[in-house]
Amino acid sequence: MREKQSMLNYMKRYWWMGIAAALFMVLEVSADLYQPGVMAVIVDDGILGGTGGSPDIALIRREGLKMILVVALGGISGVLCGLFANLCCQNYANDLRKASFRRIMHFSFAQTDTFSTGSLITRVTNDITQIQNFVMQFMRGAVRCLMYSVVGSWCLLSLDLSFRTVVWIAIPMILVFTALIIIRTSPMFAVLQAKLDHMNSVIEENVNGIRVVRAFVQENREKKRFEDANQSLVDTQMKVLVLISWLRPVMNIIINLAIVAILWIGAGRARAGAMQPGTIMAAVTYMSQILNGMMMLAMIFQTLSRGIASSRRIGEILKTEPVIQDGGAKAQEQQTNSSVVPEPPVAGTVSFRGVSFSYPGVRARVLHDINLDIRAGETLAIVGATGCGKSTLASLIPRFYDATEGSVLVDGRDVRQYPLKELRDKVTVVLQKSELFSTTIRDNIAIGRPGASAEEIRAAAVTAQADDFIMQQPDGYDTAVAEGGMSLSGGQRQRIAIARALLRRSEILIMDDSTSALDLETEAALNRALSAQHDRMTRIIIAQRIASVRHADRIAVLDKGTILALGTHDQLYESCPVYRDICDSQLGQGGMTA
Amino acid sequence: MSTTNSAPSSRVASRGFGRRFPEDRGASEKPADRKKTISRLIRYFRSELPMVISLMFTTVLGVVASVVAPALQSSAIDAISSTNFGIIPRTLFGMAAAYLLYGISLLIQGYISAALSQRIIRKLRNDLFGKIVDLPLRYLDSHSHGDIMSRLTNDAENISDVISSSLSTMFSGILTLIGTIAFMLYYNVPLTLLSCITIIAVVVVITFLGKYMSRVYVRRQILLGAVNGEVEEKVTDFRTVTAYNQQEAVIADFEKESDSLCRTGIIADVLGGSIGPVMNMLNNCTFVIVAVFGAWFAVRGYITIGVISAFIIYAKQFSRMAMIRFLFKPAPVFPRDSASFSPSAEPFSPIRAY
Ligand SMILES: Nc1ncnc2c1ncn2[C@@H]1O[C@H](COP(=O)(O)OP(=O)(O)O)[C@@H](O)[C@H]1O
Ligand SMILES: [Mg+2]
Repeated sequence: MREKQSMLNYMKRYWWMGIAAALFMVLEVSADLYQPGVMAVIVDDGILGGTGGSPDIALIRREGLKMILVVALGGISGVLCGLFANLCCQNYANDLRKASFRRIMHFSFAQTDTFSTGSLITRVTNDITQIQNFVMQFMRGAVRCLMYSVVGSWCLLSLDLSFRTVVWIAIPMILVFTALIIIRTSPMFAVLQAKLDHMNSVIEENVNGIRVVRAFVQENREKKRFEDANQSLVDTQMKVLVLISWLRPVMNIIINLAIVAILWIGAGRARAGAMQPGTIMAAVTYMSQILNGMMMLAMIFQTLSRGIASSRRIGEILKTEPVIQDGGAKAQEQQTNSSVVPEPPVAGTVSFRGVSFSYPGVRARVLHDINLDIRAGETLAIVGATGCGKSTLASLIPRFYDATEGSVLVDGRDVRQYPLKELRDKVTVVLQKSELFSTTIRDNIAIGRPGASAEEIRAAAVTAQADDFIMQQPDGYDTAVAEGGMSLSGGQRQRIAIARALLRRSEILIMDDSTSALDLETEAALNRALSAQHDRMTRIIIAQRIASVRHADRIAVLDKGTILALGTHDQLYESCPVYRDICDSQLGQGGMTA
Repeated sequence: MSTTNSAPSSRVASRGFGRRFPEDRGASEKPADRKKTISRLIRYFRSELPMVISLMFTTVLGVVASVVAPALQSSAIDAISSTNFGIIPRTLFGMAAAYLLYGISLLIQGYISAALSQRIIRKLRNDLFGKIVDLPLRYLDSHSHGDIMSRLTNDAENISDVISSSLSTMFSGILTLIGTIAFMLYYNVPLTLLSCITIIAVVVVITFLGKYMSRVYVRRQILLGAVNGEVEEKVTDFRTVTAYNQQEAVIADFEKESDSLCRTGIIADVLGGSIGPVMNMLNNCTFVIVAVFGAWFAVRGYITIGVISAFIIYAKQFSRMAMIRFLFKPAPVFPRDSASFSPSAEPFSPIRAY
């Protein structure tokens, strides 16, 4: 109920356009329904001369002119109806599209995880189109259909009541038959949508992961997987189509036989001298107009079921409130206080106080009782096996997720009390997967701080060791990055992502495994540049390679979601067997020298 | 954008997430490629020859029935007005039989075209997917993933729908056209010519609107691709957007694109949507012409009243067939929305012998 309300709320601004469209539609259909009656007059009174018995040319001319006028009015009304209907439903759909996109952009990571990216994309693209079609159909179709069937029947009966048996038999037959088909097909649309989602996710996985597919020579397996998804979609669709393909023929037969019946009844009445041929001709035309209305009814119901399914999917997005929101009034208060009190001398501390975390919907804990104080300006490294929770730990600092238990403090203040923007300006994360957008390299870096000057962008790239290869690109900084940055090497992408992060000049920089694709020399140069340029910045470095972390001020060893040990490289090498094992294994591969 | 006040040197930077190359997207939709696409599609149909042939056969039966029925109706009306009631049962029985035959042929046609289009969609998609998996990485890199996806789902379906419905519509259209013209000329030549006035008007309107419309439709398709691509990219890379506080900038960009799609969409659909009422109006004009001139001729004794009733039906059939030129255009020009599921679009459309 509530979701319907919120969907309808978006209609508020446009409802009058919908009403206008409906009114013009009434005019258009009235013009159509007006004509058979006039034709009956022309034939019966004009040609056959009515009661007088002699043809009346003047009457034919007069009625003809009237008809032309009505036809022109009908046409104009039709065009105006289209105008208002489109204004109404496209603006409505546009508002819905914008609102759901906005909502998604404010979702927390946990919320996008639950919806899944693929499903969110189909909702904003496909479902919005469905809703738009549905509103359009409903506005134009519902009025037209009602007018044709109800007013059409009334016109028919007002010609002669003896036609009523035909109407009473034919219309219920059509309604029952249509209802049967609709009842049988409508549950199938949900299945259809699910199958489409499935096929889309196969496509998405392959388009995004094409390099992996190639690397592991999985082409044939993936093709088979797609063919199966495709086959099952097509099979369901075929079932729906076959059911629906009964509608038109059966309706045609019913209505055409009704027309034969009307001729039969009409002939009987004419024999009795109670009816003239023009009236019978008009009755036949009305009957075919009633058919048009009935056929539209079936079509409306069909878009209706699809439209409702899509509305539900959009409604789900709109009624999902972002769970991670700006800190409350308390934060405001603190902020005003802090503008009075001079800035604390050391900015850039992070503390974990008894933090535990599990992903929503997953029982197992990823982090247990983490206690950790990171000092301002220090470089802290986190090492540990894949899946031990390093990325998770880092993602709690900028509040991508909220800790399940305990609290995370930045500069002594709980992250939940910050306005989100302020917190995320303070804490910059270079994500494990460097996501580049399809724009220029320059714009990709500038995301870090919109409005940065060309010099600042270049300086950030120099520090990130990216300037050299960028200058070698065909258009330098203005080179376009292909979708997802796939035209660049992994190391190049990582350096652009680092440049982007450095441009922000945040107090705290988290690098989540973001130098993994750099060679050791480049990485060392990067570290030197970072220390020289950003010596006051607190750095949290997550890495696999010991070489990347050994020069850090302190190193935390994470194991199955707990901090096993904390200290400098030399201390840990002495005291922590897990750490020593990692070092030795990498030394053995020659990964580390002096 | 959130940073319009920044220094001129940072104009580019302030674009933030703005997409710079929407024009790449439309590049492959050039009319030159269209011929190639169509000929490729025809190949798909050729591999389904038995189905295509049986579709055509049932179509012929249906057309014959739908052309003969109005002639029978005409004699029934004449029988009534000349009070020759004896032949009425026979005539009406013939009509009922013709209409039954027509209905059955519609049923078979519907079934065959559904099967045909589903088989072709399936093949088309599998082939496209295979191509994507085997494609040079360069192509994938230079095309928006959202675009590639919509090609596989929506476009494959739209194209196959349009072609398979066009196939039977084209064929039955031409046959009906020949049949109705023959009957009309047989009944009365001047009235046939008079009803053709509106047909000429139909053709003029279509040529005039069609040219402008295909441009608007292509533009809308490009914008739709851009908006969908934008959704795809920003939702997929949602983590970066969030980490860099770019939500508002991204939303502002998206809203701009969405608004321009909305504007173009309204223009396109108001134009496309006005085809219906205009056609309806022209049909009504034909109705008036037939009624008035038919009445005049009937008064003079050139034709019977039954002929008027047959002409009303034939003229409508005739002008509907003239619209087929318009129906038979590739997807973007076709004024149906890009709804990806439109199994019903053809079976439901209010087309009928009247
Ligand atoms: N979004 C998520 N939803 C559910 N489980 C997740 C999610 N992300 C990671 N995990 C799980 O949490 C654990 C820790 O992951 P992560 O922090 O990414 O490890 P690391 O960065 O150390 O490799 C893993 O078992 C992983 O499968
Ligand atoms: Mg990780």
